[in-house]
Amino acid sequence: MSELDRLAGIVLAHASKLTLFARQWLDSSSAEDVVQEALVSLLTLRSAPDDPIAWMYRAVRNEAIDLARTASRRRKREQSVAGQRQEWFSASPESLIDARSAEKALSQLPTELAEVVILRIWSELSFSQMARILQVSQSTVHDRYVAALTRLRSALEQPCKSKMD
Amino acid sequence: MQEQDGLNSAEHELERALRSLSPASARLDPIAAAFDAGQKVRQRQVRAWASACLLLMVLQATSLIWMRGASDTSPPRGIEQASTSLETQRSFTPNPSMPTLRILEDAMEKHGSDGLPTTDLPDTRQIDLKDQI
Repeated sequence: MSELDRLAGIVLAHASKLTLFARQWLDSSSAEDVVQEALVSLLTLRSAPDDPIAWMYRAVRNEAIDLARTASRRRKREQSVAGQRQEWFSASPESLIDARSAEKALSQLPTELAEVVILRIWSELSFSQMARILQVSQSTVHDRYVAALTRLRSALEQPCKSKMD
Repeated sequence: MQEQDGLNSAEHELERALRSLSPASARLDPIAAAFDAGQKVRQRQVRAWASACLLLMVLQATSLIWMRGASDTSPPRGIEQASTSLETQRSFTPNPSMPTLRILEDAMEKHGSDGLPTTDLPDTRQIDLKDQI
């Protein structure tokens, strides 16, 4: 098994998680493009990084933020989102929480809080890996994570507004 | 209740609930990615070779210009010969002991060609035809 195959295999295993991470800034198709581009960049490196997953998350984050900043890209994204909306999570009967509610609560969080939740919960990264990706200290990452969970809990615990209200 | 990681039981429960959600599937094309990566690496190599060739060409052109500039300081062969002959002509100065034209004319009038002074011509060597053949 060549080094390229190994790296591609690792990234493929994290494809949906990486795309979910990029979805904070981009629509689903742009998020997939960004992950694909990051994979290309990873494969063109002269030597593989020590932590390919952390490297990928970092590359995806940088590229997604750059793309989101582009005005034309933003317009395109809005049109795309208006045309076809794709969920962040796939519906499953085993889910203990409503996927749409979770998505809504997550999308309402500030980006620096939402990204730590995604990296911790779905990407299953350690706080040290997250600190390397986000280039902040581990304690900052931890503080953000706790703050994010607190906000999420209060958002999800709010009773749904009924038509009667 | 505070847990070891700074989270209480409610937050742990929320973690579990969130973990039960699975991210929507994403389409990645590893073959296309590998192809693109190969293309990029090849382009990088080609660019490196092109830069090296360009650098060599610039160096060669510079050295040619420098060599031409150095050879321009000494004149070309034809010019050198012409200036030498010109200098030879300019360096001719009449011998003060030589009779002037006026004296020679007077001598011719009085004594004819016998009155002309003898010249300091070098001795003539007898040329043998055998030597030439």
